[in-house]
Order: sequence, then structure tokens, then C-alpha cells
Amino acid sequence: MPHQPAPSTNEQAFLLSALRENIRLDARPLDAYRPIDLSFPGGPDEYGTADVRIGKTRVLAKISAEVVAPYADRKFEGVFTIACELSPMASAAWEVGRQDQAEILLSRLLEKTIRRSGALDTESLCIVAGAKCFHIRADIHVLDHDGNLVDAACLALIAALLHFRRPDVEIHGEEVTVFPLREREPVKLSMQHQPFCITTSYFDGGLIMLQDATRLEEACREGEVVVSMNRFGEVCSMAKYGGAPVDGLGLLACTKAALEKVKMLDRLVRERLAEDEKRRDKGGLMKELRAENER
Amino acid sequence: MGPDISHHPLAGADGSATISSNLYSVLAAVNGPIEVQRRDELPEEAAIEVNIRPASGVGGPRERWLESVVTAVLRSVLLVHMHPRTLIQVTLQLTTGPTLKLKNATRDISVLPSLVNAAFLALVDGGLPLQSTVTAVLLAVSGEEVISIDPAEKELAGCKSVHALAYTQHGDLLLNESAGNFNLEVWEEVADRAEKACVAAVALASEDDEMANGTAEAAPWLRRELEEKARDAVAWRDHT
Repeated sequence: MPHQPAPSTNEQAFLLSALRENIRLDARPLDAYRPIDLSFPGGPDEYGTADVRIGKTRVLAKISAEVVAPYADRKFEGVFTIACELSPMASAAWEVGRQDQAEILLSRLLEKTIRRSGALDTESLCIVAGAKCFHIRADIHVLDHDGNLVDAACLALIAALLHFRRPDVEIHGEEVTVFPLREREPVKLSMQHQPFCITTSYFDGGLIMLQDATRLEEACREGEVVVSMNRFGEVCSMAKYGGAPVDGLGLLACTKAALEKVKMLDRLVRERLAEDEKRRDKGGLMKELRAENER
Repeated sequence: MGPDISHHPLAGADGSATISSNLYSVLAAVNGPIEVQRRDELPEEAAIEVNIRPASGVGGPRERWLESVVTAVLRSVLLVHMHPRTLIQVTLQLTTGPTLKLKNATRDISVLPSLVNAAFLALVDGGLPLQSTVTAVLLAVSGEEVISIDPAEKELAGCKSVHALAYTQHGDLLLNESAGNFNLEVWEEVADRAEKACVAAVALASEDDEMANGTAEAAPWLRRELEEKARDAVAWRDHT
């Protein structure tokens, strides 16, 4: 499999000397994101697919649910798994069936940010304690890679989780009926908060910090700090990769800048979800199902 | 008529295309010719690697089988001997599928035409040397022996047999996979209809034909797409 060629020395030197003059190659300010596009493809009764584009980076997240038996040691909780297998679609260097460094990092960060921070209330997925629960599965498909994969994947996952609806269930004693989407209005997942990842790349030992790095900038940076927090400024996790040290004040600056971006992402997700709801709800099914007459 | 197609949706891959028919949406990406691993290297031709990724879940034996079928079709379309000791890597990502629960065999067959068409369009977009044009169609035979081309989900759920066939522009058969209960007579009729539909998809549309039968299956959708793409590719010449 071909390796991703490292940028040439000239390219690196050019990028760094531009950065030292506070100029990025695509003329953005250091703390600006590329244009973000979030859409929910699919027909009127398809839920849980989110397509995120940040510049040329493109990630598709898809949520699916099925009924399974819960883990024996967690009888009152449902199962939530995140799968992010990278395919050669985004980069020929990623081979099928062999874990790449990027893949391990991505899955670990998403796991920490979303699963371990309790963003999804797994207890609400329980149907019959110890016997039946929902298994929510999130598949992350990286379609195009031009840097900042972590932020894009996290945004796509949160948006897809907020958009997803699981089938409704009814319990009579031991008997459980799962209603298909066509029969009963499906239910939203209960989310406790919505954390987002913000990656800050640093250069020159922390002197230059920038957000939303492109692939070239990622190849030239000394390290990265990934802060995940929700819109209330509660930090869920913090990770620093790369060798060069970053001082405490630098980290505080990262966190402060991240909060602003998280608020921006959160607003974006809310706006798009509302737009999508308006598009889907043509007064159709809910109007038909309503029992009351218009007198 | 024909499926919805968009060319080159991805920036990273050499060639890419999305195709959405009434059943499936497939995103195809092609990288190639690229460096090949020693164990896959073929001394006289390019190796073809097809990866099929379902929308949710990981691929299993079903995907491996679909991959082998698609690889065989692509091998007879690509001029593999032009790039010996290289690799042509095709990734097919399913994005949406039917919502109704179909029989396993029916589901396997019904996805094949979308996969083949998507892979072919991505190969064209990637500019890989091809020896022919290929079009695949899906046909369903209902209980009353009525053959429908590009069946809807409901027809597929209640059909007696499904057939996926692919033909070149000259009407040479490249893919023949069927499932269900049928006899040779039925298959021959199916193959006949499929060949007509496939050849029509890339046929030169004369004005008389379009006037005479504006039917859905006779529309040269693939030719129109390819011509438009070729026109766009040379548009810069008109501006200079």
C-alpha cells in the first residue's frame, strides 16, 4: 500500500514561515474554521444519518438500533458502540483490515468524548432489565480526508445521535412489542449533553496555535491538543498528542478558544435539526394519526 | 430517466461517483493505478481490489461475495494489461438501502446493479482506460410472470425471482446473477429485456426513436451522463 507522501521540505518551510507572519495558506485567520456544511440525507422516514463537510473533509455518520440482551454485569443499561473503520476511500494509505494510527486515535477520542462522558443516556435504552435492551450502533464513515478528522467525526456523530429515532416499544409483563417506524411514531434518544471536540494544532513549541488544520498543516505541526466540552463549558476530556511541550497558560487559552467554537457548532447543529424537522414534517403522519377533530 | 448521478463528489480519490436508484444509494471511489503490495502483484496486469462497505455494521461473507462478483465484471471492462504490476482500488460505500425487510438472497442480488454502475462511473471519472461501456440492470419477475425493470421495493418484496444482468454497449453479457424460482424460458425473456435496456442506456439516440417510444427503459441515461461529462471536461477549450 502506498504511504502518504510527507510534504516536501520547501512546502513545510513555506507554510511555517507564513504562519510566523500570522498567515495561513488558505488565507483564514488562525482560529477560523473552514465552511461547515451539515445535512441529513434520506427520505422522510429515514433517521440517524448525518453528513458533515468541513472544507474538503467529509464524514458520514449513521446510527442504527436493534434489540439485544444486555451485558450480564449491566442489567439496567442498553449498549452503545461506536465503529469507525477507515476505508481506502479517503486515503489510499488506509488499508482494509489493518488498524491505522489515525483510526486508533479517532476511535479512542470519540469513545472518551461521547461514550464515557455519558452523552447518551444508556439506561433509557433498557427495555426489560437483564433480558432485552436496545443496541445503538454508530458507524463513522470517513469519505474524504483533508485534516481535522476528529472535529468532523465528533460533529457528525452528535448530529446523527440527535437526529436518530428508535422504534417505539410496548411492554406487557414479559411480552415486548417493537413497533416498526410506519406503525408508530419513533422516539428520540435521550441525550444528557452534547459534547464537541475542538482540535488545536501547535507549532514552534506552542507559540503558534491554530484551529481546524488542513492535512498539510497537520503534517507540519508539532502536536495537537484536543479539548472536548459541551456548550456550558464543561470539559469532558483533554488530550495532547505530539512531543513538544505546551505550558499551562497555553492549555487554558486552548480551552477558552474551544468554548467559543463549541457554542458555534452547537448552534449550527440546532439550526440544521430544526430546518430538517420542518422539511420532513409536512403535517403528514402526525396529522393523520391525531384523533381529535377540527371542529 | 435512470438513476440520480453525481460525478466527482470527493476531492481525495482519483475518481468518484454517487448513484441513487429507487432502492440503493452507492458512493464509489477509485484510486489507481497505484503501488501494489507484493503478495497481490500480478506480473502482466493490474490487480483489482474492490471493497464494499455496508451503511451500518461491518462487512461479512455477503460483502466478500459481492466483491468477488463486482471484481470479475470490472476485470472484463478495464484494460488491465495497460498497467501491469499496479493496483486499481475500488471502494463502494452503501449509504442508503431499502427499508422493507427483503429475503437475504433477494437483497444480495438487488444491490449488484447499483454497485456495478457506481463502480463503472467512478472508473470513468478516474480516467482509467476501459475497453467497453457496461450497464447493469435489475429485473424482478412477479408471481404472474410479469417482468419489471428497476422494480420498486414492494415489487421486490413480493417477487418470484430477481435477476441482475450487465451488458456491454454491444450486448455482450458480463454479469448474470439470479435468485428465486424460475425456468429457462423466463430467464431467456428476462435476459432479452435486460439486454435491450442495457444497450438502450448507451445507444445513440436518434430523434425518431425518442418520438416513437419515450418509455423509461429506452432512455439513454448513461450515454447522456457520459456525454455531458465529456463536454464539461473540454469546456475550457471553448473559453480560450
